Amino acid sequence: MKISKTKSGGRQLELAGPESALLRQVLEGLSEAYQTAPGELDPMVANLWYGRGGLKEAGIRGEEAIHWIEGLHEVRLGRQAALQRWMKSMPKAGHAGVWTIPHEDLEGLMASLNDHRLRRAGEFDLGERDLEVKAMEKAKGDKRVALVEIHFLAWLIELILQE
Amino acid sequence: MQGGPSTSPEVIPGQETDLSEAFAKGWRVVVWNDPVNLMSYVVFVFMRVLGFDETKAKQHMLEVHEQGKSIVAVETREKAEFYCHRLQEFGLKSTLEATAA
Repeated sequence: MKISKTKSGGRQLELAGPESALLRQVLEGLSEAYQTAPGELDPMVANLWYGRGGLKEAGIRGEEAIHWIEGLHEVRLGRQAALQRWMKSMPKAGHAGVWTIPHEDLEGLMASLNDHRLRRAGEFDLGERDLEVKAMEKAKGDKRVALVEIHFLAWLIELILQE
Repeated sequence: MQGGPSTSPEVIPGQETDLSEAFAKGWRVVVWNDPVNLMSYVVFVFMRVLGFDETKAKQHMLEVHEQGKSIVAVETREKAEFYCHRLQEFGLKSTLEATAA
């Protein structure tokens, strides 16, 4: 993958076939998860995206707590339109090609990619040791796939921020 | 101007205290460490949400990383809630604490 800054401050990504396939899979998974009500998500994922930790202690209870969580869900639903736009502008699944992200979409894209990293970590209850690159080499099956996605998206976020 | 409407505000007992609490910068926004969020991403979010410059954002990110948490703002209740919610929108683990607590 190569990344460069566009004249308008966006990013242009040159994706290899497997990279575009992986990214599309990530965005499709996110799209589904964003549309899922917080109470219906995997509890570990819900805790990372819509955690109630600290609300009670801050006096945010009952209706107020519900509004707090709904607000977080609305933000993620709001990213849904961008996800659809990005999937349309990406190279076809498994094909190499160039993907251009407008400057105004960068913040939402990074937040979405980070959400996917949190989601995958939540699904497998991954801690600090699990997230070391060495641990990825030893992991097997679905956990290994999750770790590959987490590290790949970390690399992509780093590249976007560095450019 | 007899008989006209009174222009002086009425003070309802108890409300005075509520208002002073609402406008007092008595709430901390705390960001907690987690193993997933990237350091560079946390710096980006601090700059974007809290308006920190890069140096200040890095200082707070390192505090989170090394000490487990960082107080990133001390604000009025309303503003602290706004910051805390915005940080959570970006996937950061943040909470509110009363300064008196």
